[in-house]
Amino acid sequence: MRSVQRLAWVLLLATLAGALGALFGPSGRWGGVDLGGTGAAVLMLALGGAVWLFAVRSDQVFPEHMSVSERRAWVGLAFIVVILASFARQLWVLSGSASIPESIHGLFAHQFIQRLITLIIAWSVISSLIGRRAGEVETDERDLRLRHRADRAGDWAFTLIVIAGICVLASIPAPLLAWWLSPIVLANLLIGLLIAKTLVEHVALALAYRAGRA
Amino acid sequence: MSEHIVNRIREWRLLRAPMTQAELAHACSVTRQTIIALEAGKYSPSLELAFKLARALGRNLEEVFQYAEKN
Repeated sequence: MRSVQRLAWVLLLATLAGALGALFGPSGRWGGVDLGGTGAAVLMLALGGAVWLFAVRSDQVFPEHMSVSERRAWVGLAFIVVILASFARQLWVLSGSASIPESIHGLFAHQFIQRLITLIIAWSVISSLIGRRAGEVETDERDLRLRHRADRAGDWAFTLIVIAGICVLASIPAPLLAWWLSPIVLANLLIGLLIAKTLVEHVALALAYRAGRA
Repeated sequence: MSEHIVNRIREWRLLRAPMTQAELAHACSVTRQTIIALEAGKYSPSLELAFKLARALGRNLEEVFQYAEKN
């Protein structure tokens, strides 16, 4: 393993550790250290380090046998997992609060949207840096075919989750549903649906690349 | 009994020495990983890519690709 790849692994682990600290320890202290603040700082430093690494050494971070599209697929999967963890944290905070926020400002108060925007910007920057290798084809018909298959897997997951949601909603008594299903809860469920669909697409795509490797 | 497409890309590529996978990929505007998958029989190309490959290898389409039956 190259030293650049070792550094990439360190940054990936730092990103995951920072994300865990930032998401699940905002009010906790461990050995006198503020887990939330430290985690957020580690996360931002690791993301900054990853952007720098991809800017100067994007060719050497991944194994040689991976195409640009496959590299992007794995990076996308990592970001989707962090976004899913952030969303799970958001739901956890909502479920523990005394009153469910009634407006979109409630979402901003929980910083989920800010985190989401930061992650999507970092994801876009890193994906564009991965494709900077001059003179190389980034996407061809095989990539498009694998992406099409992954999209179909995402569509299936979307359909199954919607059907499951319909069954759950149909089985809940109306008074209980009226108490529980506020607009902001519905908004969160729809966000969760989109994240789940994207996660299935990225898992299917990464696995398809892995399976198609000679 | 089922049918599938087999190819002789690797064989013709090595005969037309020295043509690397990267050079063939560049000639056909695909990634080297697609050439690797084709040679390993893990990917069946579109008709357009099949013609490009045959042309890059200096062969007829049927010299490079065959439609075979297998049990």
